[in-house]
Amino acid sequence: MTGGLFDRFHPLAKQEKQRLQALKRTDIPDIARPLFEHPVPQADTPLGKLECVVLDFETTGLDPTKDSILSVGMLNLKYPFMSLSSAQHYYVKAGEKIVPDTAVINHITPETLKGGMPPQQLCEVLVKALAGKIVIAHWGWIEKEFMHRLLGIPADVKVPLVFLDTLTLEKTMVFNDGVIEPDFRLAGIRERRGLPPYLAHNAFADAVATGELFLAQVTDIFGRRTPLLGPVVRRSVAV
Amino acid sequence: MESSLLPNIVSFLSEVDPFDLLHEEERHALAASVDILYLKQNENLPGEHIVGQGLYLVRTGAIDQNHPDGSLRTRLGDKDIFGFSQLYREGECDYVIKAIENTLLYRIPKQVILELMDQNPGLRNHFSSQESVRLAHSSAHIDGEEALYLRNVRDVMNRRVARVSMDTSIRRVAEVMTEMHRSNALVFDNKILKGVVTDRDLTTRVLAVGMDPASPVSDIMTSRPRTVHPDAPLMQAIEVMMQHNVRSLPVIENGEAVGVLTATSMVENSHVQAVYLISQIYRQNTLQDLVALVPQRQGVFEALQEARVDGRAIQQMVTLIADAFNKRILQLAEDKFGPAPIPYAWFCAGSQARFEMHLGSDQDNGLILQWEPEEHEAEYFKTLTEFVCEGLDHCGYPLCKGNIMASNERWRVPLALWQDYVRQWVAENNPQNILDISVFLDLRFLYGTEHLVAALKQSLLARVERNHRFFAILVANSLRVSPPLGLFRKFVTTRDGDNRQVLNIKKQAVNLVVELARVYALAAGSSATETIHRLRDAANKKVINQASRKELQEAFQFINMVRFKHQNEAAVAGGLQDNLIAPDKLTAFERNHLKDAFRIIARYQEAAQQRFHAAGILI
Repeated sequence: MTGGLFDRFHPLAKQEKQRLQALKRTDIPDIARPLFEHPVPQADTPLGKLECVVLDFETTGLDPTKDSILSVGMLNLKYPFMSLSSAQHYYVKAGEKIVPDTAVINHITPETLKGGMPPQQLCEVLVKALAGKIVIAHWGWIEKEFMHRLLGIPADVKVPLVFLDTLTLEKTMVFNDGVIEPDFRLAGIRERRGLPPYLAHNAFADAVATGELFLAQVTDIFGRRTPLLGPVVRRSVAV
Repeated sequence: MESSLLPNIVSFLSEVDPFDLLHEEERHALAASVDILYLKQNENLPGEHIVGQGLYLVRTGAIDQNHPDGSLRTRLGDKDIFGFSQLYREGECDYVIKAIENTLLYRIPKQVILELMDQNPGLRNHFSSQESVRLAHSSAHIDGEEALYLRNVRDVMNRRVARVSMDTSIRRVAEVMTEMHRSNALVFDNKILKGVVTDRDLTTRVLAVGMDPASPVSDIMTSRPRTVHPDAPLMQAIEVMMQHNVRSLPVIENGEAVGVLTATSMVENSHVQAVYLISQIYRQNTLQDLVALVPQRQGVFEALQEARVDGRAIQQMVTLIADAFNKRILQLAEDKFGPAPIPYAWFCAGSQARFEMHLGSDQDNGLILQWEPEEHEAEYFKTLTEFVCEGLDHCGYPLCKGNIMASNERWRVPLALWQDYVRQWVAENNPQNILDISVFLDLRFLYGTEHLVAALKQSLLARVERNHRFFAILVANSLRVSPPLGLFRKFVTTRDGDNRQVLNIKKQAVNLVVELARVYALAAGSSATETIHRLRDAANKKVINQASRKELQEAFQFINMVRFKHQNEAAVAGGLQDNLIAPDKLTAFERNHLKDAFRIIARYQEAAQQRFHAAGILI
């Protein structure tokens, strides 16, 4: 796991290199800068030594350039425990009008959002909560792209956070199960794994559900071995 | 943190005993404190995550809790709790937790659970480390009498009302009352209730004073009677009756007489219903009439259940009713076949002898003759016992599968031969003998010449007393079954690793206490047959201490409570009243408390084994 050759080509090594380059740039917004100041952990770091945050966004749609974040759910996970006492949940003051359809799905109404957090403040909250942490999300593309946009990070610079993706992880695990067109929605995966049903489409509940799934996946991947960050990252980027 | 965002965890917690006791707000706070973790199948939970850390709840999955030597302590499934006993400790964990399925666990941090207990006595009691304390708090017994008085008039009133008008003749009123089997009639003027007349009025105000029965009833009725509303508590109605010395209260709702409450109806509809049924049994003159009463047994049982009368009282009632059926059938048999040619005693054995019958119990009985019968006398007893045993069968007491019945000629012999049996049983302990003696160790006189039964019991006790070898065998025999410590979900795992689909609550739980108590009682030289009395005698003779007695008693009562609930539900659904309970039919509450009860039993079994050196004999 610690061979030089291996490390050099590991996505984590690549990400660390990108981070160091980005730090020298002047077009990184100040608000996002703290995210760039923590080194990317080594691939052979035990998961139990890392501070992770399970993150979930509810958004008005899938296009970060047009859609906006409606709510954010976060909670800390330090393997093997995820603690609900660390949970955070925020509504965000929407920049645009809420599409009634998504309100039906999310149960988030314009009235709820009036009392929500201004996007500027959300930036601060997110950066504070996530700097130096590993992020766990289900189909983390959404969280990554919306955060990229929200923080105003230049287009050619990536969000310098390690993302672990429960959806991608699951795909690497059921590949040989002979399941035809498996259901990769969070609820579907959880059902297959015998995890209890939960109320979906609420950023906080989704974050809890994602965290539980992550704990189950890690246990599956490593068995009795000590879970390390590297292998989880590799599986998270493979699609 | 918005508490409304924890609905899954909150609703889960609200189904878990004892967190269902918490207020909604407390439950939200609790949910918000939970740590979540996941164990893969065959994975152990490190002891350092348990000792001094908090209380664990199984969210989904299943785990084994093993003793350090690898033997099973208990098996836990959804909604089960562990870790409390390790909360105040340091160092090594007392047990090993291993997932037998993939398992999602919630952990409530120590600080949180301690604070909750601080504020909430119910929770404090629940987590008291003593199993018996937990059991004692499990069943908030409402006393039978109290339960009766908590009921409403509507539940108990008689809906059949004899109605007459002011000008009806006294004779006609008496006829109406007779026709309708009523002890009273309500007197109306058009639709307005004007008075009440009772059978006592007919005696005191008509017959005793030679009044003309052609006179109108208005002359003898009690005018402007006290009335009661159907929703009034029964206690209130009783008070009214006492205060005004009346035996009947019209029940009035919206100006309409909807029923009458009488002293008799209160007896008939309360758990005194059992007493009423017994009095009915003795009034029947044919077997057919007795059989017609059988459905009422079910009614009595249900009423007792609903009133949450404690399990022991229910068993006693059910046994007393069985006794009444048995004795009445014997009387009918003597009427039919003539008086017995020689003195005899009819006794009951097994659960009936212990006053521990339930609705599904079969008959166990035998007959002791004073001396050797002549051939024709033997024939008489053959006919008599066959009639009685079959009669009992018709009355819902099935024939004994082991043929332990007076109709079996082996169990219908003179006292001298019974005493020979006893000598053999004790001297030659082959398996059949052990089986026989454990049935006849529970013996109770029912009918006939009582001293015959006393004499047999006496010779039994004398033979057994200080016979260590016999004790050892008896104990070894009783320890063949151990309580299913691994009771959970679909499986009931015994200590020997046997997987069963169902819990046999009689064989795997009730009998174990019965047998322990029997051994203790024998060791104490007690001839008591009821398990509770045996425990009492054993404690008084210092064979066991009072704390042990209490523990076993609590365990016994809780197990029986679960058993009766199961049987009552089966009966209501029209199903078979067996002792087999599918574990998923148990509530988490019952499961948790059954586990406590099983742990108590297992502990005493172990103690008995050491004490009577049973292990040595088994080898």
